[in-house]
Amino acid sequence: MNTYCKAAIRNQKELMTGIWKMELEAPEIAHSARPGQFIQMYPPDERNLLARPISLAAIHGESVEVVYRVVGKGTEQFSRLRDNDMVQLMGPLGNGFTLPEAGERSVIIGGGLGIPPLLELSKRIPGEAEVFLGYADAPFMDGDFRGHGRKVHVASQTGNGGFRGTVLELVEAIAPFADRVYACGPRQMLQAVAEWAERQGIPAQVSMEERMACGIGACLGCAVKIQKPGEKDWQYLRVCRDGPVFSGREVVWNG
Amino acid sequence: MDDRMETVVAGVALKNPVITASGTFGSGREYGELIDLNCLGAVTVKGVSCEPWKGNPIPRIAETQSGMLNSIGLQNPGVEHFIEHDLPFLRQHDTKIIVNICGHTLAQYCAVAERLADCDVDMLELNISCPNVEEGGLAFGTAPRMVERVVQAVRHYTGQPLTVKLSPEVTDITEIARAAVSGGADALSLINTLRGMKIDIHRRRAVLASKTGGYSGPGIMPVALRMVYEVCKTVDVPVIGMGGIATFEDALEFIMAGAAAVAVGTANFHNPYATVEIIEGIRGYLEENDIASLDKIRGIVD
Ligand SMILES: Cc1cc2nc3c(=O)[nH]c(=O)nc-3n(C[C@H](O)[C@H](O)[C@H](O)COP(=O)(O)OP(=O)(O)OC[C@H]3O[C@@H](n4cnc5c(N)ncnc54)[C@H](O)[C@@H]3O)c2cc1C
Ligand SMILES: Cc1cc2nc3c(=O)[nH]c(=O)nc-3n(C[C@H](O)[C@H](O)[C@H](O)COP(=O)(O)O)c2cc1C
Ligand code: FES
Repeated sequence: MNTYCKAAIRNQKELMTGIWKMELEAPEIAHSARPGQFIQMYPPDERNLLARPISLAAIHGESVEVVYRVVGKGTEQFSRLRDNDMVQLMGPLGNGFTLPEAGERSVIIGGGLGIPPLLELSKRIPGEAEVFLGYADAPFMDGDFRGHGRKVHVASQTGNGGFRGTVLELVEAIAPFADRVYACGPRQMLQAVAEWAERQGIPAQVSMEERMACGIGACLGCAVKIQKPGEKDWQYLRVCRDGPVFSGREVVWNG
Repeated sequence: MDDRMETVVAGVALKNPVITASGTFGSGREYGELIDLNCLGAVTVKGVSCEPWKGNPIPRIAETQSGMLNSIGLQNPGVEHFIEHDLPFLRQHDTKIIVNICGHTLAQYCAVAERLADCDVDMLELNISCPNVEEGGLAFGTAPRMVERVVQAVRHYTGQPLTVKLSPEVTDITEIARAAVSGGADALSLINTLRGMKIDIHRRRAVLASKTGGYSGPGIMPVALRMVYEVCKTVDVPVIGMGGIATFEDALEFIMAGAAAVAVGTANFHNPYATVEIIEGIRGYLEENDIASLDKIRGIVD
């Protein structure tokens, strides 16, 4: 159930330049959260009115973990918070991923800051899952996926950490067999993943991003073009309420 | 009911003067998961048109210093959907329902009003001031003669209490207010958003796909307050004041400027409990200062 609460910060640390991880002690959120959901984090400076949507990277007993990149005013403020500081949150929000059926094999594909939102999913998938991670340069968090026994493949633009190229080029090179695809990352990557999955005839669940105001479905700010099977026309659905996870096949990618 | 807080707007008795502003509260369902909708004086729902509207391209939201821009473009599933799905939900609650209506043409405004005429709603709010639709919206709200015509036309189709929502994008708000009243408005709502813009200097382009959008939030409050003050001095109908209200102190400023009631919009995004806190704050202020009713302080600033 969605709650609006203050959380204490634990273990804030910089994973690598500009990318931070923090644990948020928020039992109400931790108790009901599912992989693929997100929270709204309110910047401490009240002049920044809007909350920042950040995905849950991990869900522990009484706390949740987020990993974020400093890109602007809000995330910059989060990075200056120290352990035991309090931050206002709302969540958990959105629909998470749907886990595979018993016996199904999964492929998890993440790009950049789309990687952390896949960690809890990877932990919870009961069966086989192969993980593909794409980076601009140096890898991060790949160890967390290996840590619970997943087979992890790494691609990067610079070749740092193995394969040089996009994560999808790596997927195509390895051609994993799968019944389900899960993906999070930049829009172009998600589109490429959705098209690849379509060619393989596998359903893909993709986690989308859009600018948000309310975060709960009331303002219609976070629209995404979706065309449901059997419907003549597309419609705008809400990333925050109807997503952020959508069927790759239903997203209208161009336009 | 707490008599001190009771407020009558266009013959509709609200249990307190705090209303949600159209477009910021959906149809109440989502915020109803966090707050008790029964606390509210009234809920104003998102703009409703006769046919479904798709709205504007994304991005539709941009944050600014102490405010935000939106270019939703009145996306809504149409009046039939509203009557079938949203109205029954809201009716389960002990709060008044104000339906914000919009159209691209005069005929469309009239069609929504006519469709709602026999429905169990408490008030219509005629939106002639949306900056985010190309036809209709602002075009109807900026010329006094046009304002009078639209209000008159809609008035003809409904016996329900009618409030007219005004745009701040005019030279003289009092002239527009008088035109709306002479067209038959029972109340006035003001202000809608101001047109604004935000540029991403790294990408070197406007943040919003529509380039410009409606500016709301604390930054617009002084402008809104001044306009409410001027209009309250000019016309005799009640005014629902809005624009940047985030605290009970803000709400009291509007009431002292003459507003019968206040609406809370953008503040809901910043704090989903804003309406509830504002209601409690006003109540506390009246008690502490031993003020028997809101009428004692309404319009007290001359
Ligand atoms: C469902 C969802 C989950 C996300 N999960 C993560 C995550 O786990 N880690 C992470 O680093 N980032 C994540 N993001 C992106 C993150 O929300 C933005 O990077 C962040 O809002 C930027 O805020 P800022 O104040 O630093 O930037 P500014 O540019 O100063 O922000 C200005 C405004 O634009 C909005 N905005 C800017 N970029 C984005 C964006 N990419 N998506 C949505 N709104 C944006 C901000 O929220 C704010 O309202 C997620 C976005 C969504 C929608
Ligand atoms: C996201 C958003 C959507 C809005 N949609 C509508 C609408 O459908 N109809 C309308 O009359 N006003 C709409 N408004 C305007 C608000 O109702 C209100 O007049 C304005 O935002 C000023 O108040 P505020 O500063 O408290 O938000 C919208 C405002 C926002 C921020
Ligand atoms: S952010 Fe308001 S509807 Fe999604």
